[in-house]
Amino acid sequence: MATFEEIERRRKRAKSSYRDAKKHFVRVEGWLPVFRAYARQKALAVHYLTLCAKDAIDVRYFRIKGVLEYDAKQKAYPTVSFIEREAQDYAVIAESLGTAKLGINGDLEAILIRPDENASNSAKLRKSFPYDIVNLDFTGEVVREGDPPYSQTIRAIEKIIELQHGANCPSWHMFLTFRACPETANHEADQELRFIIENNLQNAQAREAYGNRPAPHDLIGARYEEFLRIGIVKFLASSASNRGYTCSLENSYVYSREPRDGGPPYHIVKLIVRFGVVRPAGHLPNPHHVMAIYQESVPAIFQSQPIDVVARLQANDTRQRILEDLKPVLDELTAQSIVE
Amino acid sequence: MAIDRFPIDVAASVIADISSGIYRSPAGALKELISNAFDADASTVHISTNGPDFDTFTCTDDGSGLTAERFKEIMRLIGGSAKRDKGEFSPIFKRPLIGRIGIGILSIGQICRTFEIFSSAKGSPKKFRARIDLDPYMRPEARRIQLQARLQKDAKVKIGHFEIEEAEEEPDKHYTRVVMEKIIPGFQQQLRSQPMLGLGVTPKTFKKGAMADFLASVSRDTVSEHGAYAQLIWELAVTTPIRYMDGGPVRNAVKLKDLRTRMEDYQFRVYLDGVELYKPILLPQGTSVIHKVYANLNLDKQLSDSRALRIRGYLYWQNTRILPRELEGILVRVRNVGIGGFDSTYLGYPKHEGWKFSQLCGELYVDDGLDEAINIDRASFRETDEAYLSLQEFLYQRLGRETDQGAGIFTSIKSKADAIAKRRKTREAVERGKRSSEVIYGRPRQVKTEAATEPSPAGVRVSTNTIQIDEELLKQVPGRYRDLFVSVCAVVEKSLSSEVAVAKRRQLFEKLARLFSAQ
Repeated sequence: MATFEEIERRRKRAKSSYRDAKKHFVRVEGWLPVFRAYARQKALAVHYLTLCAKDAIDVRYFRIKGVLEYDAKQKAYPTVSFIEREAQDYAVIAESLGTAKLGINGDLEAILIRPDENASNSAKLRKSFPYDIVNLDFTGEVVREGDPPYSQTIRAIEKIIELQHGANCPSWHMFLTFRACPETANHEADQELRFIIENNLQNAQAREAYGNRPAPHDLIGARYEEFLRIGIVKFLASSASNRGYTCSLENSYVYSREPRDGGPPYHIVKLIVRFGVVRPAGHLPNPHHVMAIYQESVPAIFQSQPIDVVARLQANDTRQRILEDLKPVLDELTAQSIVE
Repeated sequence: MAIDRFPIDVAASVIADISSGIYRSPAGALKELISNAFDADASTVHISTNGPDFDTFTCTDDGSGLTAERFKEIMRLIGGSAKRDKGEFSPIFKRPLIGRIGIGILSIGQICRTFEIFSSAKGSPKKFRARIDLDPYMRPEARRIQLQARLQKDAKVKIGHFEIEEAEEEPDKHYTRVVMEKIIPGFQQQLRSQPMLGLGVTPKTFKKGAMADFLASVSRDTVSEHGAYAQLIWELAVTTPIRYMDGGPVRNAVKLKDLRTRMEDYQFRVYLDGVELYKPILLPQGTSVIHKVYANLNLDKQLSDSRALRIRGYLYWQNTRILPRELEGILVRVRNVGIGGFDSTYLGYPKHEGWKFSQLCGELYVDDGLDEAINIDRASFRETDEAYLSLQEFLYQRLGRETDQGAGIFTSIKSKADAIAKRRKTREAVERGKRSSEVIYGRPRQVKTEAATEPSPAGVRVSTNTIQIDEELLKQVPGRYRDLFVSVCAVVEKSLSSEVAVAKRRQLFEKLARLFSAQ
């Protein structure tokens, strides 16, 4: 269990990253259009599950942009559910947002993977499905050092897909954020991903789509973030096909970070993935069909290219525009009287 | 003859029971946390209940905070600290300190069995996290531990344990945050329960927006019929030292301005689930309501044990029932904090005053002298305490015998109500008479009066719908008598026109005009 000192260090590190232009670029260019589409379609009642962290910038931002249902009088977000592991941060979110559809002070992975130990939170979370958008903004790796390759995070993601399917959700989006840092990566998991990619490359169509990227083994060393990006999307596609969905990568973003406290530099990878139902809940999966869906999705994944956030921010006045767009949210955070 | 002597002993868990059950309601427990924040010079307190699940509560204030050392001191001997040793007022906002014996922390045990506290004291480069567990001491085996056996070793009884860790914090940060998990199931159930059917207020729409909307919702009858959450809002809003709603407690009551400004000067705000709470007292209720304010319920009295009893209060009466019913009665505030709710018995007023009780409410701010009389639950009084008895006597006197006007308030209300009833009866009699004559004679015809610029031979001409009177005649009659003059002339002209000569009639009308002008 993390000591208080460690938790505090992590909280301080996280705080600065929530408010920077790189992260907000993805909110503006990637997340907001998805929200807009759902808001139009569902008259603002966009059911949104988020790991929003204490500033809840995403929730505030979408409210300000008018794409999220909000009752200003009751200070209520009737379609927003949030989960926060740290008690202090949970309190900040709960106190500053007012009333939400669901607020859980707990660890998402533990709640989904070990429901017996988290009975009350698990029951609440399961009951709250389905969601239109699930925003899994993980601050760390998808497979942490020391975890087995089939990590808790991976299993939690699969569980979410399963719960969405079980709740008869026909179409939904997942925003997935994770860290790619070769120094703190789980090499066993990397090797497993590498074998799967190499296996995919046996297929001519997939090989052609893979293009001139270095071979998977070299890609780990040369562009680890790219290796993880395609590896994780492929995992999502495989997992989705087994659980009755097709999975298509709509956009992906990559940017670098250099920790101020002297830790190794790393990349943040952000995926916007759409899931569409192919098999209704309660029906048996057809293994041939499942395999076909997965194999069809592989070339598209290999063809995809990430958006280089840092390069895009350097163009013209993009950085300025992005920061100005973020300003109302930061002003609101400054004005609120909640102790952080 | 040998006499056998036996010790009388109690289980240590009795202390734990007392510790976990001293507050009557969860609102009473949260009120204690708010009072602690008030004493710590906080500007804001934010409470979150995580409704509609109500399974995690948080309470954060931006007060002066605690250091780990101070927290340990408090927790090692609950009830052993005296908050007011360093003075009667808070250092920054000069608020009269509410806490006295340092047991406020126990209030959390009323809501949950395990909780975490995070706090940082002003100027300290550290913050701490403490996990407090009261659970083992609430279990049945705790009941078998004899209190006396414990007391022989040590004068303390263990009611829980805590773990504490420190981390770095910016020195200018100061706050206390309590995160309460595993809320006691009964309490959760109560909050989740649907209110009475038919009201259309469910726990999800409990708030109906801001405080004014809440008040409008509950003012149809009782707060309690709107469910436990509405009651929580009510109790917190009524008892805590926060501001009145705009214009409260009584609109345009200049004599109550000091009470309004007193609360504003404390600069203390409490938010529940994002919504700011205000004292939900805004009278009179409706524009047609007749009301009276007895603004000077003040007392400054020296008690026999050298305590001084200082009271500033008011009573308000209106000619209709006060709603919600929870607002009927008198609320005693000791150092600005409500003790219990509005007491509709008026501290056990000995006479039955019937309907008057339901039309009356008021507040008594007791700034000094009554602390000792408050029971440990801070929701009731020890009724044999001298200060309480003096307060009771003072209120009875005001209600029954003396007032600003020299008569008892109830007598004053009675005469006021009698006068209103008399006026109403007269008005009703006139209305009834009017209705009867309409039934007998039919509706009176509308007749137009005109001032004739061209003089007529008699001076007055009457047709079916018009009465014409010479302008010269009409000018002589003062405005207030004109209608009457016109009516008399019309009757005279109508009845005498066939019997009396024109010249004679004209003389008569001129004489009449002179008579009216001389009035």
